[in-house]
Amino acid sequence: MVYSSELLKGSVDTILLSLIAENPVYGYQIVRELEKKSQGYFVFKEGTLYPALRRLERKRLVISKWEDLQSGRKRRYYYITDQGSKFLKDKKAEWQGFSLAINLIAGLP
Amino acid sequence: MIADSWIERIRGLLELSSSQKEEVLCELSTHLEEEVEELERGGLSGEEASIKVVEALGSTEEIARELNQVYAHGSDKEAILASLPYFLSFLLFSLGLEENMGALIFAGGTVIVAVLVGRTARPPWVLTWMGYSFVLLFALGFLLWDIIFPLALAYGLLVISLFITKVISVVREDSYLIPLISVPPLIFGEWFLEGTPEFKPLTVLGFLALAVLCSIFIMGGRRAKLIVCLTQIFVLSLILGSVGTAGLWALPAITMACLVLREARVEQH
Repeated sequence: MVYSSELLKGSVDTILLSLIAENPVYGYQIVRELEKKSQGYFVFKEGTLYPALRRLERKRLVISKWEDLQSGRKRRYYYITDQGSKFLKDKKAEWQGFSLAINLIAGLP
Repeated sequence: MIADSWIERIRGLLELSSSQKEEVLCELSTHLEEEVEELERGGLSGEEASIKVVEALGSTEEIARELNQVYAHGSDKEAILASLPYFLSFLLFSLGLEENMGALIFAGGTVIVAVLVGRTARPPWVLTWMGYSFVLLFALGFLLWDIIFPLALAYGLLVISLFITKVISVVREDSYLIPLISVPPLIFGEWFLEGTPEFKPLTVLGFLALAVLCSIFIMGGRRAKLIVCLTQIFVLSLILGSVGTAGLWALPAITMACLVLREARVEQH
């Protein structure tokens, strides 16, 4: 199934916040989780995830914390903020109403 | 090797401060290494895994362009915080409170903010407050001048070297940010050198103009920052020209040097 890149672009914040809201996650984990949860539906260039995460951080919807790993690497974990939780709640309600209306108009179940 | 060159390509394309750049690259490197390791566990060779991961990450140009855009624009809150000292200066001078207790509280407040915020993190907006803190440090030197001359001389040299060290660290971080820290000492240094003459209406309005320019500087992208730097030269020339003349040569020279340094650094990459 092919989807418009514009449709994905408009939903990136909601998708990322939904994943981060469940548990604190790091970049690579987000890619894997997204692939798993969407059952391979969402395919995108992984590197573009990071500008999107920075934008969320700038909007104070998420915060990030570095964690040192035993391997000597550092991972940046993302946590949702109260503002982010509220934003996500509003976006989910908006999406629910929107998709319901589209389904009704298009005669979809 | 493939992964390393991908990271180096991104490094060359990022127009960020050195600390921001290191954070971005560290995050991308961890992603890259972890994904390569996972693919290797799945049976791919190191080179095959690297090629696959680099493909999955995507175009270095696109990622760098998006990251540059995100980092170039400060938030409205940051813009307000950066321009607040200029706005408070405008209020102090327009209300004639510059030799009042309010001025002292304001000056002390800038030092507290600069030390508290600058010690832990250093968001660009705090540089204006640091610039104002140096104004207070310089002012103390001028007070000492009349009382204990040798001590004032030693103190002055210490503050100047501290200021130069701070400016060098800002150049290393991102030379575009130099006007934020250097403009306040330039204005007030001129004021002290001229024996604290009265600020004229044009000078007072200059503070308001600098507050606005500072906000645009923080919120604007790369092009806006260039335009603001050049406009600042004009506004400061007016301010310094209305106070005295000694600072006139210094400001354009410093600002232009910052721009040249910045441009040279970008071209180098």
